[in-house]
Amino acid sequence: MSEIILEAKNLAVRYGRQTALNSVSAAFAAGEAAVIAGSNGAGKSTLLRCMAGAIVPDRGQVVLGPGLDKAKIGFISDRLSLYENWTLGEAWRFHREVFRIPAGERPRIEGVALDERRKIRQLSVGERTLFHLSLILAQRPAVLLIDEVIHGLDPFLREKFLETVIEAMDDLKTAVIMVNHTLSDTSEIPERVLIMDEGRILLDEPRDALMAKVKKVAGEATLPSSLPVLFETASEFRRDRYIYPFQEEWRGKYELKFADIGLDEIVKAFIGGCYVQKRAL
Amino acid sequence: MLILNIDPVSPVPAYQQVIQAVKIEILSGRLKGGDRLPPIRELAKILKLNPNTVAKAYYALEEGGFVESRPGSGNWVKTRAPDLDSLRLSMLEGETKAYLEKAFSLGASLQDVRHSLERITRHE
Amino acid sequence: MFRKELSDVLKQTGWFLAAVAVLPIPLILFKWVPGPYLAVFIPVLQPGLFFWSLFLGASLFGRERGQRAMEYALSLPHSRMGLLIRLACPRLLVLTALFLIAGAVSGIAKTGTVLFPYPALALFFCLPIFLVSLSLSVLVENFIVLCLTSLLGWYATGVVIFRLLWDFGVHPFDLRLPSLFVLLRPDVAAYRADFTLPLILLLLILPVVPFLAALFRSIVRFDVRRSARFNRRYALTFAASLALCALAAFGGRAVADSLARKNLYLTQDLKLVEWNYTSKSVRIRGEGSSVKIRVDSPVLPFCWDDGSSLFVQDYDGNLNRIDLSTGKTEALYHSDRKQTTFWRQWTYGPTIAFFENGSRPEEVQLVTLDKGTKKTARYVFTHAAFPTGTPTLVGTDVRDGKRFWICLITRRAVCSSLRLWEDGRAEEILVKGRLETVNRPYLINGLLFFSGREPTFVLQDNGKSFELKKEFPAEVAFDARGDYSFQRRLDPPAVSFIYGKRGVRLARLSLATLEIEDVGEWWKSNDDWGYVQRMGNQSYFFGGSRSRKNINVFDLNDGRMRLVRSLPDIDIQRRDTRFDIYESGIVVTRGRHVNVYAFPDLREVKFD
Repeated sequence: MSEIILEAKNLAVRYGRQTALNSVSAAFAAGEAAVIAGSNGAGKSTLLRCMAGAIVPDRGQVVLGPGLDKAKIGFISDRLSLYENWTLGEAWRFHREVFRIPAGERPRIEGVALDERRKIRQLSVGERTLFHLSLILAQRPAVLLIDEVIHGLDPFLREKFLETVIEAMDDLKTAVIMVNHTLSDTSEIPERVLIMDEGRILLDEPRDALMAKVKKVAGEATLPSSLPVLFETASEFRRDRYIYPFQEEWRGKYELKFADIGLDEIVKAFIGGCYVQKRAL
Repeated sequence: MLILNIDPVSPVPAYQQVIQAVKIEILSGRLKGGDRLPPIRELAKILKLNPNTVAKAYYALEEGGFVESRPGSGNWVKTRAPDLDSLRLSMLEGETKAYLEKAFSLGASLQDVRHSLERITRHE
Repeated sequence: MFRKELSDVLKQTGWFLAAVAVLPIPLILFKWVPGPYLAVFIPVLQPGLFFWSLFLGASLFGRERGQRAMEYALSLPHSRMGLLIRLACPRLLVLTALFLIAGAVSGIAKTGTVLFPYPALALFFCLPIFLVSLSLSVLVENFIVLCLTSLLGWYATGVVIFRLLWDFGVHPFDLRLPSLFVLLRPDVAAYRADFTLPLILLLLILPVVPFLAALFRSIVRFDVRRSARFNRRYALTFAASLALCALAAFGGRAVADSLARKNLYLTQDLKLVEWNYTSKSVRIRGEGSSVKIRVDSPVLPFCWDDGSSLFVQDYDGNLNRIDLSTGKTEALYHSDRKQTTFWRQWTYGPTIAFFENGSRPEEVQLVTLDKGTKKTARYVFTHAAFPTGTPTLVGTDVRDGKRFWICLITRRAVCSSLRLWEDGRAEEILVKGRLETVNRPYLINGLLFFSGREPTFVLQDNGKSFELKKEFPAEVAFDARGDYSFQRRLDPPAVSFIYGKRGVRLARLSLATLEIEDVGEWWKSNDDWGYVQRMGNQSYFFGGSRSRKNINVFDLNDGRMRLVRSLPDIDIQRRDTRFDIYESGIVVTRGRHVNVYAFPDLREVKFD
């Protein structure tokens, strides 16, 4: 088992009166790839910011693994925070100096060429995202903390982004912790899934185990009351019920068709279930 | 060229799907002994997989004797493959089971299946 | 990060300097202000430097906030404190350099229109506002609000600390703001008698300490969000530090007072009066007795007596009489307007006379107060010379049944002399047709003696005006005034001779004939010092040697110098050594030792 390189211990963060994180704990191993999904306002970005050091938690602490310092953490915030009035060249030189990156060329992303003299605020969202990625990869980070930035990219840049991250995973054996609420083509990258809601971690499981535990039953068939239904959608023409935690032996036991579903749908079921609970209260 | 797509929904883990796909390529002859498999990084990039996943698949293929790993130069298909025929048969059996399940779910009988097989093979 | 910040700050400062350099040009071109350029530039630069200091402090995180880079900046591999230092130090360096350059340039250019000396501007104003706005910048995001809060916060803490340092022990419930002058020119006010260097340092440092303490303690929790924990930490540290600083101010004042030199006065019957600013009591020591008398307000550092009563003035504008035998206090007069001219009184017979401000600058009121009946009379005089200086009385007499006073208005090196009649006339005393003279007059034996830096001359009243009677050559220097306590008395006993200097010789002048006779040696070498002091109709010569550190007192009577006593171990060049001459004796202060010697033989008087 790999060593823990980043651990969040009982983090509590409040924005004014609102609780963003409520005693959140999670430990990440070297080289691990994890995704943090959840409803809007669940605290995913706050958790990432705490781990990156942009937020000092009200309680609890973020512990870095042995020999690891902040310079080895690469962080892209969902606001793509950078000094907007600087040119790319200036921003790169600054980043290099602060992170003590040995002199050299800024790592290029294949297929994406950016003029060093342009200002950051003149870049499109996609160009800015990829520029930010190139900056943090130059750090040769041990951990990549990437907030919800992929959804803003066009399909071409999106692919470039993912390919670059995968390359870094293979090259640097970097741990990748991404925040995404829609995984789609990225669903195979994480080995571990964390689902958050209202400042808490609802779920923290290996991906394969999670997929085995959530199944969908479509149609109007009656369900035995003992089956744990996580979430249910019902309309005139469609009814889906999501079963969690699912046990394999139920396949033979009941006359029901338990369909396998992808990670996106699993996340949707969890989030939906949370909303239903809140409405019921 | 390795042609494969990973089904994200399938309960079969991605690495096993990779293993399966490679075996099919070998069985079909599209991958011959002495051919080089794509580097882990490249396959991972193309398929949007975690490199560990691809590494796991390649390792399993090596354990199974289909592939050998040469340090520094990647993974190569073994010229003396293990028993391909029994592999072919077992895979075929799996496909047949799935096909029959599908056929019966349409309400067809075993008779209908045989007739359909004969009709189609005659046209080929 | 430090380098980038430094280059940014330098660029901004360059723009600031360019703006300041350009601004006077339209003002001069459109003739809104008179030139030359430097005379307008300096008054623009100095306030500009103040506001630039405010700006530099307030814009600590300006770049991060303005360019949406706060999250990026906070996730860099610097601790919060490290980040603070890297952003703050360049600003401090640039400010310091700016002041050094401005000070050097102004020294070289000798512009003369400097509002503040640069060290005072930097230390009393610009550095504090920089530190205050620096500290508040982590708390307040909106720039305008931040600037306003910084100005208010600095002023408020400054007022609180100043009040505690200045006179809280004296007027604890007085919530009036300190005089604006003191706050605007603390460097000048700091030279007032009861402000010493340690107190000035406290006034400089203490108002800023709470802000810095709050900043350093809370920066570790600085965040992209408005964190309640951060705000609380800042506020609590600020409040605690402010309380500690208030205590330090209060304590500092108390310590300074207890260490401060006491005010001393020797009465005509050889009683020693002691008091200091905050003690709110006056101690009267006699030979074998000691009485402590409470007063309501702090007493001014000077007082006088008439043999039976001590007359003291306090900071609230009251003139009180303390009976020297019973210790009873009686209020004589109260002046409720801020009468700066009320500080000094003159006496003749039973009358105390003093000046109060008139209703216009050209107007003064001469007030006479009867010591016994406490009745007052007011005389209003108007003259163009009054606004130019402080009026002083140097003599009084009666002519043709009407009283007049000789009034002196001094302004730096020159003075104007007026004869004020009790019917309200202000008659100018002209010397060779001019009102302003360098020498100062004194009325003695009906003659008006003008002595000072220019050759002495004498005027005589011919019934209608004063006319020049005699001029003396430059080597003749006679000061007709007696000692300070006799300058108060406008009715001294008649005197036949006054003593002074002719060349290097001690000489005496006959007031009847105005002829000069030689008496003795004035001083032998540069090591010696000496002067004549007249106490009524007795004159003494005080002289000494700087190297031998002594004072010799000579009796001057019958035209001869007679040594009365030699007082050893007095080094008048030391700052803590002084000797004061009173009508009844001499008080010698060496550090905390006080010795009193009584006239006429200067025997030492012992007190408990």
